[in-house]
Amino acid sequence: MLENRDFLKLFVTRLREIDVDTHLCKNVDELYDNLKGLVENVETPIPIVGNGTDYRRELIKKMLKDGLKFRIMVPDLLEPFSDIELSIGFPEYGLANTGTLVYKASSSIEEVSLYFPEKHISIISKDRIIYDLEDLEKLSVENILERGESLLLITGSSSTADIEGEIIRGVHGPRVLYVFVLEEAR
Amino acid sequence: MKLEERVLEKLSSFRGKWPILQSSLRKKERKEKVLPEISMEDLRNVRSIREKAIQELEENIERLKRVLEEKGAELYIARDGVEASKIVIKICKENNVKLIVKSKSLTTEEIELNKFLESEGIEVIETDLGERLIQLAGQKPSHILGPALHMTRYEVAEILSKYYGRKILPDPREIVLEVRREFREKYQRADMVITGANLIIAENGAIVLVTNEGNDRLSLAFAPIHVVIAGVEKIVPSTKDALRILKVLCRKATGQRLSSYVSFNVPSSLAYPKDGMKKIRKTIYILIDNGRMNARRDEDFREALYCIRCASCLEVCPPYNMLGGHVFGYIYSGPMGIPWTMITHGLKNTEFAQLCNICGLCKEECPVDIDLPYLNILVKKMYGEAYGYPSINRKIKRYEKLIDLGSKLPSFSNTIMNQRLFKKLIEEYVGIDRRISLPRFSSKSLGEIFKEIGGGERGKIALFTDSMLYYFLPELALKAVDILSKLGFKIILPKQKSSGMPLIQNGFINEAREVALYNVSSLYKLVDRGYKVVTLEPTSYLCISRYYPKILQTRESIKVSENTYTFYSLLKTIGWSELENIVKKLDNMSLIYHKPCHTLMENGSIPVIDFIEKLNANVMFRNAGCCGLAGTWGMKKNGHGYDIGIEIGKWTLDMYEKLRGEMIVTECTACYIQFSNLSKHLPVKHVLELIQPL
Ligand code: SF4
Ligand code: SF4
Repeated sequence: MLENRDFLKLFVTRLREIDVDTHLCKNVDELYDNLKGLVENVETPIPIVGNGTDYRRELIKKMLKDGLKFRIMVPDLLEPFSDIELSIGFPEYGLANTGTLVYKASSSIEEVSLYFPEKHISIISKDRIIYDLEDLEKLSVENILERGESLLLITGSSSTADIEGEIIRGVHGPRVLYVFVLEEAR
Repeated sequence: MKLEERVLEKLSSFRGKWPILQSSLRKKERKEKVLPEISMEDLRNVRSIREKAIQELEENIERLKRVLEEKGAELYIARDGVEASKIVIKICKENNVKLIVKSKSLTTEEIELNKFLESEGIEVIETDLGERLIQLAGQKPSHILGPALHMTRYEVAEILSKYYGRKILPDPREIVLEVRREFREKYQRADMVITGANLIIAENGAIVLVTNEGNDRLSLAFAPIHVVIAGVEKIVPSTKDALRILKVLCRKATGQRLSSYVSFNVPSSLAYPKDGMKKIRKTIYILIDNGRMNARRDEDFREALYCIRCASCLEVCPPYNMLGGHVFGYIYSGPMGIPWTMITHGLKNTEFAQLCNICGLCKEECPVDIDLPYLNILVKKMYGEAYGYPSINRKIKRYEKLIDLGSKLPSFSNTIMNQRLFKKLIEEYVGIDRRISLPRFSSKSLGEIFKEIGGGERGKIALFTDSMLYYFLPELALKAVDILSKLGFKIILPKQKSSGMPLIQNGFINEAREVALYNVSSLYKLVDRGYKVVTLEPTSYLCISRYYPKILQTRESIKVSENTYTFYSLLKTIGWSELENIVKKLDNMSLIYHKPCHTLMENGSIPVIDFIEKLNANVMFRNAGCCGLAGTWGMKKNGHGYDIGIEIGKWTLDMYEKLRGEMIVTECTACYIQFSNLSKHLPVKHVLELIQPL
């Protein structure tokens, strides 16, 4: 079993192995600088879903303050989804050994936000990275299900190998997946 | 069309492209990296979870029912497909459903639900790309996970061009974009979603869905009604069990550590508010019996219910890879498709089981260790008893007699054996394809030249050979005897009949039982007196150690099985050091080892490889599968075996030729003969031929 500090390295390796565009950021400022380029010219509203962390709040504050040309969407009041280009999510956990983002969802509004756009960005701090599926067991994820929330494990972008076994991305869900890992423990 | 004709047609349409095999090979490559991450303990866990889940199925159903009631979801148990379809149609009518999106549909394929729904004027859209393609083409799935694997990009483009009414280019990227666009609109309009379930968790009612496309998530997100249709065997007790299965399932199914989308869905989640109103999605579970409860009561077929649908067995099955699921399957295809077709669609649809050559590769590959070959033997038996054994199988039973007869006058037999008229005759009466070159009889059989040998200070051995070595290559058997005697064993050649594999392979269990009984009685007396049984052919070992105890179920057969070794595993138990004083070393040769399909792994290793390495050779091991002969199966004329077997053999050989070894070696005489006949460039040797006494 790996030490906790190695999870970050493994997580990033695994994500890159499955073609996820992965960025390590020292702090929220660096994260914001990296993120800016991706969100700034998005013309459709950007739904933001997932965990209510402090870095989520900080980031949104920065985005709003900077007056970037984009619209954040409160997913509860969703507009028709057909033209959403990009969404941002804050997962509960990351699984290092599989490169997985673990979300919980109490309504399919969150789900639509995660799966409908062409591109999705997940943001996670390093202390949320656990080793593997078995650790979900230890964290008693069954309680999430007991509470009536769904558990969503995302490992890479949407893909199909149905035509001559060739892997093509983006058949239903996001074609491109970005993950930003905050190296600061939060 | 008869099965044999369908085989020939499929072989000719696949020739040169082999789409199913290509996809299996690609998947095998992808899996190489992640499979070592599955431990023996992981596999044992999955097996015991599945065993327990089936054992306690009734309790689990009750528990699930209670949980679902608490969560406001409904649960129906449908006896069969018709009953399930009626329930779905009732729900559709009550809720004015016009458009249904579906995902994870194999169980609904099983019950042919779409036909029922469409006859009621309900539009049904399969959202998995492969499922959608076969839906538009009006075909059945050819693979349990990749239903459209048999289609080329050109065929796909043609199907979609016809459907969209405009030209779609045969470019997978373009195709995917088109489909994505169409589905987006359909998801948002759907009145109902039907999904299957990879697993259902009894303790909280969650269904587990595993996909790479994400179609399940989007189907679910918008529709206000969710109907889950799954086999009743999919229930597992707890979330913990589901997590353990997932670890193995995803790696085995696609070579991913986890599939792109794995979700645990509970009935109370909210649907997307199309009309601005938040709504709890109405969830209805329909669990289908359709033969499963009967199978559960059957001591043998209960095992099939442990299947986690990873499709690994399909990828290693040589005839399936050549033919695909439209020939080697009904709705469920490949190895698992044989027992599953019997369970869900009845014996009458299992004729394709005849295409299984009982190579056993599927059992080795199955993460739940389901004895598919044995279940397939039973299906052949039951099919034969119900509808008559296929005449080709009744003919091939005469093979052993032909060999016995031929061995009486070996030089005469050798003269006439490969003459055209004789070949025609044996094709007619024994079913052996006339294109086969039969091996030459030795002037004396092993029985005629064998003499009891060895002092016995190390132990006593009863040698068991099969007809191939006994009649055709006895001098090779003597090489093994020589080594054993030099190691201090006393060796005898007891009374024995050929192991009976052709009978077992074709489901003639009653006759096989007689052969097994004969051999077990002969060997048991010796085992009782302290002898070890040593086999020289992988098939003999397989029969004695695995099949005899199964078909006889006697104390004697178990004891004989426990005291039987292959020549190589016996050497391994002694240790290799003494070998150095007995046999000459090879000169650092690079040998391509062909693992015969009947050679069983022993604690994850193959003693023959150790043996060859001790002889100082470099072993280039490529577990390519099958030589295509599989005993007598590949001898059966035309599409019954020969034409498929030859293609399998050529493929395997082609792979070996690319390895640049000096020669192919194998310990199975049938594989040795097959490759010797097929190989034009690479020399082929029997492992025993490598032995040169010092
Ligand atoms: S035993 Fe061999 S031929 Fe038969 S189903 Fe299994 S893999 Fe296929
Ligand atoms: S029988 Fe075994 S290998 Fe085949 S699909 Fe089922 S679990 Fe997988």
